[in-house]
Amino acid sequence: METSKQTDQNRKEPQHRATRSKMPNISRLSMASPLAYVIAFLLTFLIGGAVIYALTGQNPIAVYGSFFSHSFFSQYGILEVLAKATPIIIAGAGMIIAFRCGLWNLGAEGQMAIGAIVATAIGVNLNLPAGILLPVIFLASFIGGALWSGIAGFLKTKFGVHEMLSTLMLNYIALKLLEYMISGPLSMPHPNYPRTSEILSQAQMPFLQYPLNTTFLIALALIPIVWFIINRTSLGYRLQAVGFGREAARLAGMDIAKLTMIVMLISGGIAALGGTVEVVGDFMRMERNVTGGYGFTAIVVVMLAREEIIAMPFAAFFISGMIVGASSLTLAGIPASFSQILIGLLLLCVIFAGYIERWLRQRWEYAGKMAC
Amino acid sequence: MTLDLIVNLLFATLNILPIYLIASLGGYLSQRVGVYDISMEGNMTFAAVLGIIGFFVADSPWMGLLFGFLGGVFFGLILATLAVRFNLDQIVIGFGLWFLGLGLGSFLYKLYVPSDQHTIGFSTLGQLVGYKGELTGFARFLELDVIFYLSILLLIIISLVVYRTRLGLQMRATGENPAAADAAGVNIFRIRYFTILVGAGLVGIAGAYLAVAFLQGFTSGMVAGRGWIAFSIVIFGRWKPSNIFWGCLLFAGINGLQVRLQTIGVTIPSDLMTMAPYIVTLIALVIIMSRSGRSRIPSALGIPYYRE
Amino acid sequence: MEATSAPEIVLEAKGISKHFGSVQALDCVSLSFRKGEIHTLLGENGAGKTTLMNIIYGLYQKDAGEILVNGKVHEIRSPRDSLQLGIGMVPQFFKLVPDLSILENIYLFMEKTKFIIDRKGAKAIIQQLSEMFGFGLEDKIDREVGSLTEGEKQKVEILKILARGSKILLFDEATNVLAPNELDSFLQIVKDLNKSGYSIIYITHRLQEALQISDRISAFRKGKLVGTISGKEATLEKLTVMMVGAELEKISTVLPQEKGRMILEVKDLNVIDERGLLALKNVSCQFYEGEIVGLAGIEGNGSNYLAEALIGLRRVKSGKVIYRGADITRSLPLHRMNLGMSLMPSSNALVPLFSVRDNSILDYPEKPPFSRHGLLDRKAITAHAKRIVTDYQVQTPSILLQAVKLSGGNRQRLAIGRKIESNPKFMIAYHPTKGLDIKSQSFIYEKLLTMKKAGMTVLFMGADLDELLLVSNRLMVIYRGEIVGVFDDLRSVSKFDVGVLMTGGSRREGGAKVGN
Repeated sequence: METSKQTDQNRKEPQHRATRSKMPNISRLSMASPLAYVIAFLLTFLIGGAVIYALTGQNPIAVYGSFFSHSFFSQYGILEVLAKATPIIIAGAGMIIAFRCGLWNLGAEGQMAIGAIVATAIGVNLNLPAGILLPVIFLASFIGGALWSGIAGFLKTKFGVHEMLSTLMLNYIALKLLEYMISGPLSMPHPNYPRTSEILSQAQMPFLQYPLNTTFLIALALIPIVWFIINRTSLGYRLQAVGFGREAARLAGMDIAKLTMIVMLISGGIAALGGTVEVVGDFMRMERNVTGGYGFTAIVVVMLAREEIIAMPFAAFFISGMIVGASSLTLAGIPASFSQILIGLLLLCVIFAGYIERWLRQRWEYAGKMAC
Repeated sequence: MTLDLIVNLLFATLNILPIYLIASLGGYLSQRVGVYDISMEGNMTFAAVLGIIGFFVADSPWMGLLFGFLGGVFFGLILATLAVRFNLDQIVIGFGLWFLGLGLGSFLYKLYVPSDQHTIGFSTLGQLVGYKGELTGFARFLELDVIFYLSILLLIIISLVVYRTRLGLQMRATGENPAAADAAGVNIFRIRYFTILVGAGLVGIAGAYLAVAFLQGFTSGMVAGRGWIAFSIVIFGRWKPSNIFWGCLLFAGINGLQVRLQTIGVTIPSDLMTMAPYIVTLIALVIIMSRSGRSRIPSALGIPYYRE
Repeated sequence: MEATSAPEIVLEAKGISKHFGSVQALDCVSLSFRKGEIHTLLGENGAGKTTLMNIIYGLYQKDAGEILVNGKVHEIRSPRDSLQLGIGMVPQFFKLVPDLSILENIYLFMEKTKFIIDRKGAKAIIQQLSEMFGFGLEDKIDREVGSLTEGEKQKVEILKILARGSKILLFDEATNVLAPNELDSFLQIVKDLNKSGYSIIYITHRLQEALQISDRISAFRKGKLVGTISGKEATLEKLTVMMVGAELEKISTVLPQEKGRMILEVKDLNVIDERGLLALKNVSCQFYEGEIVGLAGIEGNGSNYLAEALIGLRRVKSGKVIYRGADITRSLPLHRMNLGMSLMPSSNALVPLFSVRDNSILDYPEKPPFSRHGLLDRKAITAHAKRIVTDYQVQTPSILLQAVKLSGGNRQRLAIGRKIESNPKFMIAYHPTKGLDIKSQSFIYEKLLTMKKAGMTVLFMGADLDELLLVSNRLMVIYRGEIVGVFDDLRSVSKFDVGVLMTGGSRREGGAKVGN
């Protein structure tokens, strides 16, 4: 898609390219102010409340009260929010590297699945001391995820297959592979529902305070590392050059194919660790829902954070809070999928609020300049 | 025996075909006027549930389709407003709508659809013409339902509209070079809005059909990437209705093969077999992309249009 | 036409103002156009003439003022409104859909067409118009517009508005895309149209054209209307003064010079384009130290392929590129840049969302002192960026400003500064002054000439002959992927000689030495 598009553009409208370079991804990356976010949040909950009232007839205020008291306003709630944010942050950190390079790696879910598979396979079978086993598990998961998203990188650089489509397809393939592993090769003997055996005890990472696991610290440590890669290394410089000005980077002699490959490998490798921590820090085995849609959620989180690594964990906490809060509502007869509705709405509201803000600002700046 | 197998496979394929065909024609329309509709998966999920609800409202699969269509149009309205009116990033919008669709779908399902209730599909052509004989050979075409024939008709109508009418000319111009279409006095916004609404409505119909007639019920995750596959079909159909038809046939064929293999008892682990469509999509993308030659991608696809 | 009876005004602009961002593109401009005249709007790039046209045509919305068509005030909100009023525009950048045929493009534009495309009827109309004005497109009506030449595309643009029934025709920098030898026939078409009763508003920055065809000329400068004079009283000097506000410096002729050591040799280079066709055919040439070699070529004749092939961005089908005795035909762009080659593009030299600082090392982020062992050194980069901003007069409030917010001239200054700071030995400058104001243009010439004196070689690709003759020691001409002429001594060369070669004509007596 990409290559053919490029050649087409070359051939056709010179003017088109001009308009394109004038408007570089502005809708994607221009920062919205905190105020726009606040308005977007309010709008989201307003619409969400309307949905609840219209569809279930319950009082939205009471529902939100329960929603927040179970997520952000109780100790257990906060711990659970942080625990759920862990895989999202890790996968998000991987996605940011790809997104900043202009690569739509939508494959976090599948890469997480690969991480989970590798972690389980090693964690169940390789009897080594914890000090060796855990690094081996993480390293192997990283390599597994890197190779998996490397497929998309390869298909892009070699054949011009758009990474958005290939990573999506790889998601489904990886999830099917995971299901196959659970019910086949890695299945525990006589399970009452499909799952693998528990991983060895030395592969299980300790809990800080249940349900928050030490894997959370790994997620936190990843933030400065990824920040450093993006902002302080020449690799980060080049990958962003490609992401923000592909043609300029090409004309400056950057090897875009090689960069694409490197970025896809790193991005997929990091994302895979999101699946790993689910195995070694939460499930302690593999089940069908081990990746739990966190890979897709991570992509939303990255979009909400406008691809800023520092903002990303906060977005992750918030989204994770929505998931935890919504799951507490099932008792009140509101399906947990309410969180997905909120997440989708939030994304739409945030870009919309960003637009309104830009529009207002322009109005403001040019007011008074109209007279002849 | 083998002939029987092939005929069985053929009809299993044709049974599934409308889902892919209607969905990818819907996606095609949006892309034809320059807007990626990547929310197709979510749209179909939402419309699937609406379709089932619609079915129970009037006890008619047609009402299901109507509900699905309206759900799709609702999604199209959001997409068109944010992507065309406000020029916001189409991938971000699509992602948001995807989540919204998945969420709304299972939300509505849990609230409104009674469990273990099944819907009834459309009458077959045979039933419609009152054919009572044995369904063998060519007569088996009579066992395909009305929607199959309508989806073929839809393909023909869309091809004719796009290539033979002024409206189609305006649609193509809008997708290729909106500035040129604008200069020609084409109302870009109206054309895009209209086409996206119709396209998203068709995607909704596909979702409703999938739930009401094909699976005759809703299970979570039932769209299972079919929306994404339909999206890919548009791309490697090279934005041409005839190619899109062949693409749909290919994927319907793989689905059909799965069904047939299971019934005749070939033992490939089902999880591995269900990977096939996705792997084939990947391979097909590689083959199409590596084949040189002129691409037919609408030049303005995915690029917001700024007038000023 | 003058004085005796008051001429009929078909179109009038009153007090039109328009800003873009902080730039006042049009400042209270009032102007009227008479029926049946050719009225030229003259001005440099960015003087506001195109903005005015776009407002009249409804592509832009004015901030203030009003527009009168046939004496009545009309709100023109979109091209649909202006077309309705009988105003049609031939835009500078064609607004054609490349994948549609001529017929489809025109049909799209016509009014009151049938819902089912009426091929026969449309064809008849188009053929008639094409014959009437001698366009010669009768046989190509079903061809895709993307496959036409620029001149033919322009004729399709004209046909579009004629078929639509427009009576007031706007031409925006119409001759930019034309080859010099297509110019006369084009101006003839404009005159013929005028004779058939069309009122014409003709926008150009070329004085000669303005003098040749105008009944009246209005000059613009920095968003303001300087004045209007009749075509009869206009002279080159008067118009120049109106347009730029001062006398232009004279173009100096460059003396031929001794050839230095050979730095780059190209042997029988063949390059294939995206469609698999030959974009460069057996191109051979040599470059020597300390010279500026001009390459004259209209866009679409392969100079961009040559630029990309020389720097390694495009694969070569056959042939050799030898740099200081070493065969670099297959080496990567980065390798060539490390050897001292450099490409200065016309656009896309900067990453728009990067700051000025970050853009200052775009060609060499890996090199010390800017990075060591893969880690960036912010201090060194900042110092480097500040030096470029000062030395190359990049006007920016801060080196942290995003490049997209710089004006075109400042962008190119930053880019050329970055290129020169890497101390290249061989620079390919591809239309480096395209779209720049005169001051920035001459700044770039000056820098290139300074570097030349220091021993650098420049391959200067361009289409503007004034510019090429100003800076070049030698000149080559490329046409349809072939080098069709090499001029070693430019003192004996006229623009006409070069122009003919650029457009595929044969050389005349006393012209150039044939290059290979």
